[in-house]
Amino acid sequence: MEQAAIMARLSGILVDTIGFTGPLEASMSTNDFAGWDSFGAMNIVTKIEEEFGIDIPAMRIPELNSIEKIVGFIAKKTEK
Amino acid sequence: MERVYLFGAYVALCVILLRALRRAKTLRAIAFGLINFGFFWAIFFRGEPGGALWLLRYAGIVALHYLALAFADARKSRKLFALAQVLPLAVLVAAKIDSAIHFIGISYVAFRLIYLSVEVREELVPLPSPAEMLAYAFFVPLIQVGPISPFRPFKEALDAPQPLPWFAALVRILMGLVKFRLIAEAFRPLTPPLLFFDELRHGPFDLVVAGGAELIYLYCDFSGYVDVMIGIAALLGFAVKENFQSPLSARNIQDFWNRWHISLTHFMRDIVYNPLLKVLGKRYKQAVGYDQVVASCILVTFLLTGIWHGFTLNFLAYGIFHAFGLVVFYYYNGWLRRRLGVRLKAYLASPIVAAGARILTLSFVCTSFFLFSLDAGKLRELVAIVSHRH
Repeated sequence: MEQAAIMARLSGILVDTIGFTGPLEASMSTNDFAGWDSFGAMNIVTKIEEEFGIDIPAMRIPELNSIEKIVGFIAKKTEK
Repeated sequence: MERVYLFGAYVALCVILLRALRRAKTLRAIAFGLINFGFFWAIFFRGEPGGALWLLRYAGIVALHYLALAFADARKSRKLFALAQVLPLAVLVAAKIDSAIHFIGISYVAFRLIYLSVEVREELVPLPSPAEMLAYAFFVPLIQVGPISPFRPFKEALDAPQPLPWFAALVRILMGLVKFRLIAEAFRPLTPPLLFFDELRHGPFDLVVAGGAELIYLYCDFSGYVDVMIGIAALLGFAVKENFQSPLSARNIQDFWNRWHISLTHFMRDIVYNPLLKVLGKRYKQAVGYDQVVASCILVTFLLTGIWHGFTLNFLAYGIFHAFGLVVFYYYNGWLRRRLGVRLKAYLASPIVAAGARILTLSFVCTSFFLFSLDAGKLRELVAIVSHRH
Protein backbone atom coordinates (compact mmCIF):
# COMPACT_ATOMS: atom_id res chain seq x y z
CA MET A 1 0.00 0.00 0.00
CA GLU A 2 1.16 3.54 -0.80
CA GLN A 3 2.64 5.45 2.14
CA ALA A 4 0.44 8.50 1.46
CA ALA A 5 -2.71 6.34 1.54
CA ILE A 6 -1.59 4.76 4.85
CA MET A 7 -0.92 8.22 6.32
CA ALA A 8 -4.37 9.47 5.31
CA ARG A 9 -6.13 6.48 6.89
CA LEU A 10 -3.91 6.67 9.97
CA SER A 11 -4.80 10.33 10.35
CA GLY A 12 -8.51 9.38 10.33
CA ILE A 13 -7.88 6.80 13.08
CA LEU A 14 -6.13 9.40 15.25
CA VAL A 15 -9.06 11.79 14.82
CA ASP A 16 -11.47 9.05 15.97
CA THR A 17 -9.41 7.75 18.88
CA ILE A 18 -7.58 10.70 20.47
CA GLY A 19 -9.18 13.67 18.72
CA PHE A 20 -5.97 14.63 16.90
CA THR A 21 -6.69 17.39 14.40
CA GLY A 22 -3.33 18.74 13.21
CA PRO A 23 -1.44 17.73 10.06
CA LEU A 24 0.15 14.28 10.43
CA GLU A 25 3.86 14.09 9.65
CA ALA A 26 6.10 11.04 9.34
CA SER A 27 8.70 12.60 11.64
CA MET A 28 6.25 12.77 14.58
CA SER A 29 6.85 10.66 17.66
CA THR A 30 4.01 9.10 19.65
CA ASN A 31 5.03 11.45 22.49
CA ASP A 32 3.88 14.38 20.33
CA PHE A 33 0.23 13.34 20.70
CA ALA A 34 -1.81 14.08 23.82
CA GLY A 35 -3.51 10.82 24.73
CA TRP A 36 -1.08 8.48 22.97
CA ASP A 37 0.39 6.88 26.06
CA SER A 38 0.42 3.35 27.46
CA PHE A 39 -3.33 3.68 28.18
CA GLY A 40 -4.35 5.11 24.81
CA ALA A 41 -1.95 3.14 22.59
CA MET A 42 -4.03 -0.03 22.53
CA ASN A 43 -7.15 1.79 21.35
CA ILE A 44 -5.16 3.14 18.41
CA VAL A 45 -3.57 -0.26 17.76
CA THR A 46 -6.90 -2.13 17.62
CA LYS A 47 -8.31 0.53 15.25
CA ILE A 48 -5.24 0.12 13.01
CA GLU A 49 -5.71 -3.66 13.08
CA GLU A 50 -9.38 -3.32 12.08
CA GLU A 51 -8.73 -0.65 9.43
CA PHE A 52 -5.85 -2.47 7.70
CA GLY A 53 -6.82 -6.07 8.50
CA ILE A 54 -3.46 -6.83 10.14
CA ASP A 55 -2.29 -8.19 13.50
CA ILE A 56 0.08 -6.20 15.69
CA PRO A 57 1.60 -8.39 18.44
CA ALA A 58 1.43 -6.78 21.90
CA MET A 59 5.24 -7.01 22.28
CA ARG A 60 5.67 -4.89 19.11
CA ILE A 61 3.57 -1.99 20.37
CA PRO A 62 6.21 -0.22 22.51
CA GLU A 63 8.71 -0.12 19.64
CA LEU A 64 6.19 1.38 17.20
CA ASN A 65 6.86 4.79 18.72
CA SER A 66 6.84 7.06 15.66
CA ILE A 67 4.56 7.65 12.69
CA GLU A 68 7.36 6.60 10.34
CA LYS A 69 7.76 3.22 12.10
CA ILE A 70 4.00 2.61 12.18
CA VAL A 71 3.56 3.46 8.50
CA GLY A 72 6.54 1.23 7.65
CA PHE A 73 5.09 -1.62 9.72
CA ILE A 74 1.64 -1.32 8.09
CA ALA A 75 3.19 -1.10 4.59
CA LYS A 76 5.20 -4.28 5.24
CA LYS A 77 2.23 -6.16 6.70
CA THR A 78 -0.20 -5.18 3.90
CA GLU A 79 2.39 -6.09 1.25
CA LYS A 80 2.07 -9.81 2.09
CA MET B 1 33.36 -9.85 51.34
CA GLU B 2 33.90 -13.17 49.63
CA ARG B 3 31.02 -12.32 47.31
CA VAL B 4 32.81 -9.10 46.23
CA TYR B 5 35.89 -11.11 45.24
CA LEU B 6 33.73 -13.57 43.36
CA PHE B 7 32.04 -10.74 41.45
CA GLY B 8 35.50 -9.35 40.67
CA ALA B 9 36.69 -12.74 39.38
CA TYR B 10 33.47 -13.08 37.34
CA VAL B 11 33.96 -9.69 35.66
CA ALA B 12 37.67 -10.34 34.95
CA LEU B 13 37.02 -13.79 33.50
CA CYS B 14 34.11 -12.58 31.33
CA VAL B 15 36.06 -9.58 29.99
CA ILE B 16 39.05 -11.76 29.07
CA LEU B 17 36.86 -14.42 27.52
CA LEU B 18 34.61 -12.09 25.51
CA ARG B 19 37.70 -10.35 24.11
CA ALA B 20 39.68 -13.53 23.43
CA LEU B 21 36.75 -15.19 21.65
CA ARG B 22 35.41 -12.13 19.83
CA ARG B 23 35.69 -13.87 16.47
CA ALA B 24 34.38 -17.26 17.61
CA LYS B 25 30.67 -16.59 18.11
CA THR B 26 29.52 -20.10 19.02
CA LEU B 27 32.44 -20.85 21.32
CA ARG B 28 31.96 -17.45 22.99
CA ALA B 29 28.30 -18.20 23.73
CA ILE B 30 29.16 -21.65 25.14
CA ALA B 31 31.97 -20.34 27.36
CA PHE B 32 29.86 -17.36 28.49
CA GLY B 33 26.95 -19.65 29.32
CA LEU B 34 29.15 -21.97 31.38
CA ILE B 35 30.83 -19.09 33.24
CA ASN B 36 27.48 -17.56 34.16
CA PHE B 37 26.09 -20.88 35.35
CA GLY B 38 29.27 -21.58 37.34
CA PHE B 39 29.37 -18.18 39.02
CA PHE B 40 25.61 -18.25 39.61
CA TRP B 41 26.33 -21.29 41.77
CA ALA B 42 29.53 -19.92 43.32
CA ILE B 43 28.09 -16.50 44.24
CA PHE B 44 24.58 -17.38 45.35
CA PHE B 45 24.39 -21.10 46.20
CA ARG B 46 27.77 -22.36 47.40
CA GLY B 47 27.67 -23.01 51.09
CA GLU B 48 23.88 -22.53 51.31
CA PRO B 49 21.96 -25.43 52.86
CA GLY B 50 20.46 -27.41 49.98
CA GLY B 51 22.23 -25.10 47.51
CA ALA B 52 23.33 -27.86 45.14
CA LEU B 53 19.80 -29.26 45.02
CA TRP B 54 18.35 -25.83 44.27
CA LEU B 55 20.88 -25.31 41.49
CA LEU B 56 19.83 -28.63 39.98
CA ARG B 57 16.17 -27.58 40.22
CA TYR B 58 16.93 -24.27 38.48
CA ALA B 59 18.85 -26.07 35.75
CA GLY B 60 15.98 -28.54 35.38
CA ILE B 61 13.40 -25.74 35.06
CA VAL B 62 15.48 -23.94 32.42
CA ALA B 63 16.17 -27.18 30.49
CA LEU B 64 12.51 -28.21 30.53
CA HIS B 65 11.40 -24.76 29.44
CA TYR B 66 13.93 -24.81 26.62
CA LEU B 67 12.69 -28.17 25.35
CA ALA B 68 9.06 -26.97 25.50
CA LEU B 69 10.01 -23.80 23.67
CA ALA B 70 11.97 -25.66 20.98
CA PHE B 71 9.03 -28.01 20.45
CA ALA B 72 6.54 -25.11 20.22
CA ASP B 73 8.83 -23.23 17.84
CA ALA B 74 9.28 -26.27 15.58
CA ARG B 75 5.49 -26.68 15.34
CA LYS B 76 4.84 -22.91 15.28
CA SER B 77 1.93 -23.60 17.59
CA ARG B 78 0.55 -20.79 19.78
CA LYS B 79 -1.05 -23.41 22.04
CA LEU B 80 2.32 -25.07 22.63
CA PHE B 81 3.90 -21.67 23.30
CA ALA B 82 1.19 -21.02 25.89
CA LEU B 83 1.95 -24.43 27.40
CA ALA B 84 5.68 -23.59 27.52
CA GLN B 85 4.82 -20.57 29.69
CA VAL B 86 3.04 -22.70 32.27
CA LEU B 87 6.27 -23.92 33.91
CA PRO B 88 7.88 -20.50 34.66
CA LEU B 89 4.47 -19.13 35.64
CA ALA B 90 3.92 -22.03 38.03
CA VAL B 91 7.40 -21.47 39.49
CA LEU B 92 6.62 -17.78 39.99
CA VAL B 93 3.28 -18.50 41.69
CA ALA B 94 4.70 -21.32 43.84
CA ALA B 95 7.59 -19.10 44.98
CA LYS B 96 5.14 -16.40 46.05
CA ILE B 97 2.79 -18.74 47.90
CA ASP B 98 5.37 -20.86 49.67
CA SER B 99 8.39 -19.02 51.04
CA ALA B 100 10.29 -22.33 51.27
CA ILE B 101 10.43 -22.32 47.45
CA HIS B 102 11.60 -18.73 47.32
CA PHE B 103 15.26 -18.95 46.52
CA ILE B 104 17.61 -16.29 45.17
CA GLY B 105 16.71 -15.03 41.73
CA ILE B 106 13.79 -17.37 41.16
CA SER B 107 11.44 -14.54 40.14
CA TYR B 108 13.94 -13.04 37.74
CA VAL B 109 14.79 -16.38 36.13
CA ALA B 110 11.04 -17.03 35.68
CA PHE B 111 10.47 -13.50 34.26
CA ARG B 112 13.23 -14.04 31.72
CA LEU B 113 11.82 -17.40 30.61
CA ILE B 114 8.36 -15.86 30.17
CA TYR B 115 9.78 -12.95 28.17
CA LEU B 116 11.78 -15.32 25.99
CA SER B 117 8.79 -17.50 25.12
CA VAL B 118 6.79 -14.44 24.01
CA GLU B 119 9.70 -13.07 21.99
CA VAL B 120 10.22 -16.39 20.20
CA ARG B 121 6.47 -16.84 19.65
CA GLU B 122 6.18 -13.38 18.09
CA GLU B 123 9.31 -14.10 16.01
CA LEU B 124 11.11 -11.10 17.48
CA VAL B 125 14.11 -13.40 18.02
CA PRO B 126 15.00 -16.87 16.75
CA LEU B 127 15.07 -19.73 19.25
CA PRO B 128 18.34 -19.31 21.19
CA SER B 129 21.01 -21.98 21.11
CA PRO B 130 21.31 -24.02 24.36
CA ALA B 131 24.45 -22.05 25.26
CA GLU B 132 22.69 -18.69 24.71
CA MET B 133 19.79 -19.97 26.80
CA LEU B 134 22.16 -20.93 29.63
CA ALA B 135 23.86 -17.53 29.55
CA TYR B 136 20.56 -15.62 29.39
CA ALA B 137 18.77 -17.58 32.12
CA PHE B 138 21.70 -17.36 34.54
CA PHE B 139 23.18 -13.97 33.57
CA VAL B 140 24.75 -13.21 36.94
CA PRO B 141 24.49 -9.39 37.22
CA LEU B 142 20.72 -9.33 36.76
CA ILE B 143 19.78 -12.43 38.75
CA GLN B 144 19.10 -10.94 42.16
CA VAL B 145 17.20 -7.69 41.63
CA GLY B 146 16.79 -7.47 37.86
CA PRO B 147 16.17 -5.33 35.89
CA ILE B 148 13.90 -7.76 34.06
CA SER B 149 15.49 -7.77 30.65
CA PRO B 150 14.13 -9.34 27.44
CA PHE B 151 16.30 -11.71 25.40
CA ARG B 152 16.66 -9.43 22.37
CA PRO B 153 19.07 -6.81 23.81
CA PHE B 154 20.98 -9.61 25.58
CA LYS B 155 21.51 -11.47 22.31
CA GLU B 156 22.54 -8.29 20.50
CA ALA B 157 25.20 -7.66 23.17
CA LEU B 158 26.38 -11.28 23.17
CA ASP B 159 26.63 -11.35 19.36
CA ALA B 160 28.51 -8.06 19.19
CA PRO B 161 29.91 -6.96 22.58
CA GLN B 162 30.27 -3.18 22.73
CA PRO B 163 33.51 -1.37 23.62
CA LEU B 164 33.87 -1.26 27.38
CA PRO B 165 32.76 2.05 28.92
CA TRP B 166 34.80 1.04 31.97
CA PHE B 167 35.17 4.46 33.59
CA ALA B 168 31.45 5.28 33.41
CA ALA B 169 30.68 1.75 34.63
CA LEU B 170 32.97 2.11 37.64
CA VAL B 171 31.43 5.49 38.53
CA ARG B 172 27.99 3.86 38.27
CA ILE B 173 29.04 1.06 40.64
CA LEU B 174 30.46 3.57 43.11
CA MET B 175 27.29 5.71 42.96
CA GLY B 176 25.20 2.64 43.59
CA LEU B 177 27.28 1.66 46.61
CA VAL B 178 26.90 5.16 48.09
CA LYS B 179 23.14 5.00 47.51
CA PHE B 180 22.44 1.64 49.11
CA ARG B 181 25.25 1.47 51.66
CA LEU B 182 25.16 5.05 52.97
CA ILE B 183 22.00 6.98 52.05
CA ALA B 184 19.55 4.10 52.34
CA GLU B 185 21.06 3.00 55.65
CA ALA B 186 20.93 6.58 56.99
CA PHE B 187 17.18 6.76 56.30
CA ARG B 188 16.32 3.24 57.42
CA PRO B 189 15.79 4.05 61.13
CA LEU B 190 13.07 6.53 60.10
CA THR B 191 11.09 4.05 57.96
CA PRO B 192 7.71 2.78 59.27
CA PRO B 193 8.89 -0.69 60.43
CA LEU B 194 11.56 0.89 62.66
CA LEU B 195 10.27 4.35 63.61
CA PHE B 196 6.93 3.40 65.14
CA PHE B 197 7.75 0.22 67.01
CA ASP B 198 10.16 1.51 69.66
CA GLU B 199 7.75 1.82 72.61
CA LEU B 200 7.89 5.65 72.42
CA ARG B 201 4.95 7.96 71.66
CA HIS B 202 4.42 8.93 68.03
CA GLY B 203 2.06 11.52 66.57
CA PRO B 204 0.56 12.00 63.10
CA PHE B 205 3.51 14.15 61.94
CA ASP B 206 5.74 11.08 62.28
CA LEU B 207 3.64 9.54 59.51
CA VAL B 208 4.92 12.23 57.12
CA VAL B 209 8.51 11.64 58.23
CA ALA B 210 8.19 7.85 57.94
CA GLY B 211 6.47 8.01 54.53
CA GLY B 212 9.18 10.29 53.12
CA ALA B 213 11.96 8.21 54.68
CA GLU B 214 10.49 5.00 53.23
CA LEU B 215 10.43 6.54 49.76
CA ILE B 216 14.09 7.62 49.97
CA TYR B 217 15.12 4.36 51.63
CA LEU B 218 13.41 2.15 49.03
CA TYR B 219 14.65 4.27 46.14
CA CYS B 220 18.28 4.38 47.29
CA ASP B 221 18.37 0.74 48.41
CA PHE B 222 16.79 -0.72 45.27
CA SER B 223 18.14 1.67 42.63
CA GLY B 224 21.56 1.67 44.31
CA TYR B 225 21.79 -2.10 44.05
CA VAL B 226 20.56 -1.94 40.45
CA ASP B 227 23.19 0.75 39.68
CA VAL B 228 25.91 -1.66 40.85
CA MET B 229 24.54 -4.49 38.73
CA ILE B 230 24.03 -2.30 35.63
CA GLY B 231 27.62 -1.11 36.14
CA ILE B 232 28.90 -4.70 36.31
CA ALA B 233 26.94 -5.64 33.18
CA ALA B 234 28.37 -2.55 31.43
CA LEU B 235 31.89 -3.67 32.34
CA LEU B 236 31.16 -6.82 30.31
CA GLY B 237 29.82 -4.74 27.40
CA PHE B 238 26.12 -5.44 28.07
CA ALA B 239 23.86 -2.39 28.00
CA VAL B 240 20.93 -2.94 30.35
CA LYS B 241 17.79 -0.83 30.19
CA GLU B 242 17.41 1.57 33.10
CA ASN B 243 15.15 0.52 35.97
CA PHE B 244 14.68 4.00 37.51
CA GLN B 245 14.50 7.43 35.90
CA SER B 246 14.17 10.22 38.47
CA PRO B 247 11.00 8.76 40.04
CA LEU B 248 10.93 11.53 42.65
CA SER B 249 10.13 14.02 39.88
CA ALA B 250 7.03 12.12 38.67
CA ARG B 251 4.05 14.46 38.14
CA ASN B 252 1.32 11.83 38.14
CA ILE B 253 0.96 8.20 39.10
CA GLN B 254 1.21 6.96 35.50
CA ASP B 255 4.42 8.98 35.13
CA PHE B 256 5.66 7.46 38.43
CA TRP B 257 5.30 3.90 37.12
CA ASN B 258 7.14 4.91 33.95
CA ARG B 259 10.04 5.96 36.18
CA TRP B 260 9.97 3.45 39.07
CA HIS B 261 10.95 -0.22 38.65
CA ILE B 262 10.57 0.39 34.91
CA SER B 263 11.44 -3.16 33.91
CA LEU B 264 8.58 -4.55 36.02
CA THR B 265 6.18 -1.93 34.61
CA HIS B 266 7.24 -2.85 31.07
CA PHE B 267 7.01 -6.57 31.79
CA MET B 268 3.48 -6.22 33.17
CA ARG B 269 2.54 -3.96 30.25
CA ASP B 270 3.92 -6.34 27.60
CA ILE B 271 2.83 -9.64 29.16
CA VAL B 272 -0.39 -8.75 31.01
CA TYR B 273 -1.89 -5.30 30.32
CA ASN B 274 -1.53 -4.98 26.53
CA PRO B 275 -2.58 -8.55 25.62
CA LEU B 276 -5.49 -8.38 28.08
CA LEU B 277 -6.65 -5.00 26.82
CA LYS B 278 -6.39 -6.24 23.26
CA VAL B 279 -8.62 -9.24 23.93
CA LEU B 280 -11.11 -7.52 26.24
CA GLY B 281 -11.16 -4.34 24.13
CA LYS B 282 -12.26 -6.21 21.02
CA ARG B 283 -14.93 -8.12 22.94
CA TYR B 284 -16.39 -5.54 25.35
CA LYS B 285 -15.50 -2.08 23.97
CA GLN B 286 -18.90 -1.61 22.32
CA ALA B 287 -20.86 -2.91 25.30
CA VAL B 288 -19.19 -1.10 28.21
CA GLY B 289 -16.97 1.51 26.55
CA TYR B 290 -13.20 1.58 26.03
CA ASP B 291 -12.50 3.55 29.23
CA GLN B 292 -14.14 0.92 31.41
CA VAL B 293 -12.16 -1.85 29.71
CA VAL B 294 -8.94 0.10 30.35
CA ALA B 295 -9.91 0.55 34.02
CA SER B 296 -10.54 -3.21 34.41
CA CYS B 297 -7.19 -4.06 32.80
CA ILE B 298 -5.37 -1.60 35.08
CA LEU B 299 -7.01 -3.25 38.08
CA VAL B 300 -6.02 -6.79 37.01
CA THR B 301 -2.46 -5.71 36.15
CA PHE B 302 -1.88 -3.96 39.48
CA LEU B 303 -3.52 -6.70 41.50
CA LEU B 304 -0.96 -9.07 39.99
CA THR B 305 1.84 -6.52 40.53
CA GLY B 306 0.85 -6.27 44.19
CA ILE B 307 0.72 -10.03 44.65
CA TRP B 308 4.08 -10.42 42.92
CA HIS B 309 5.65 -8.42 45.75
CA GLY B 310 4.27 -10.96 48.22
CA PHE B 311 1.25 -13.18 48.67
CA THR B 312 -0.13 -11.26 51.67
CA LEU B 313 -3.03 -8.90 52.35
CA ASN B 314 -0.90 -5.76 52.56
CA PHE B 315 0.65 -6.33 49.11
CA LEU B 316 -2.79 -7.02 47.68
CA ALA B 317 -3.93 -3.70 49.20
CA TYR B 318 -0.79 -2.04 47.78
CA GLY B 319 -1.73 -3.24 44.28
CA ILE B 320 -5.37 -2.12 44.65
CA PHE B 321 -4.28 1.26 46.03
CA HIS B 322 -2.09 1.92 42.97
CA ALA B 323 -4.75 0.58 40.58
CA PHE B 324 -7.24 2.99 42.16
CA GLY B 325 -4.79 5.90 41.73
CA LEU B 326 -4.16 5.01 38.09
CA VAL B 327 -7.85 4.59 37.25
CA VAL B 328 -8.71 7.94 38.85
CA PHE B 329 -5.84 9.55 36.96
CA TYR B 330 -6.94 7.92 33.69
CA TYR B 331 -10.46 9.34 33.92
CA TYR B 332 -9.24 12.72 35.19
CA ASN B 333 -6.69 13.01 32.40
CA GLY B 334 -9.30 12.20 29.75
CA TRP B 335 -11.68 14.75 31.27
CA LEU B 336 -8.91 17.39 31.39
CA ARG B 337 -7.98 16.76 27.74
CA ARG B 338 -11.58 17.13 26.57
CA ARG B 339 -12.20 20.20 28.72
CA LEU B 340 -9.03 22.15 27.91
CA GLY B 341 -8.38 21.00 24.34
CA VAL B 342 -5.53 23.04 22.87
CA ARG B 343 -5.07 24.90 26.18
CA LEU B 344 -3.90 21.66 27.86
CA LYS B 345 -0.22 22.19 26.97
CA ALA B 346 -0.13 25.66 28.56
CA TYR B 347 -1.97 24.35 31.65
CA LEU B 348 0.51 21.52 32.15
CA ALA B 349 3.46 23.88 31.63
CA SER B 350 2.40 26.07 34.57
CA PRO B 351 5.00 25.75 37.39
CA ILE B 352 2.27 25.93 40.05
CA VAL B 353 0.30 23.08 38.46
CA ALA B 354 3.52 21.06 38.04
CA ALA B 355 4.57 21.58 41.67
CA GLY B 356 1.09 20.70 42.96
CA ALA B 357 0.97 17.59 40.80
CA ARG B 358 4.39 16.45 42.04
CA ILE B 359 3.51 16.94 45.70
CA LEU B 360 0.22 15.08 45.24
CA THR B 361 1.94 12.20 43.40
CA LEU B 362 4.71 11.78 45.97
CA SER B 363 2.20 11.96 48.85
CA PHE B 364 0.16 9.21 47.20
CA VAL B 365 3.26 7.07 46.67
CA CYS B 366 4.53 7.62 50.23
CA THR B 367 1.12 6.61 51.61
CA SER B 368 1.18 3.44 49.51
CA PHE B 369 4.58 2.53 50.96
CA PHE B 370 3.01 2.03 54.39
CA LEU B 371 1.08 -0.84 52.80
CA PHE B 372 4.31 -2.03 51.19
CA SER B 373 6.45 -2.02 54.31
CA LEU B 374 4.02 -3.18 57.03
CA ASP B 375 1.88 -6.31 57.15
CA ALA B 376 -1.80 -6.18 58.17
CA GLY B 377 -1.04 -6.77 61.87
CA LYS B 378 1.63 -4.04 62.01
CA LEU B 379 -0.68 -1.64 60.14
CA ARG B 380 -3.35 -2.15 62.81
CA GLU B 381 -0.72 -1.56 65.49
CA LEU B 382 0.42 1.59 63.70
CA VAL B 383 -3.11 3.04 63.74
CA ALA B 384 -3.30 2.34 67.49
CA ILE B 385 0.13 3.92 68.12
CA VAL B 386 -0.57 7.11 66.16
CA SER B 387 -4.01 7.56 67.71
CA HIS B 388 -2.42 6.95 71.16
CA ARG B 389 -4.51 3.91 71.85
CA HIS B 390 -1.42 1.81 72.41
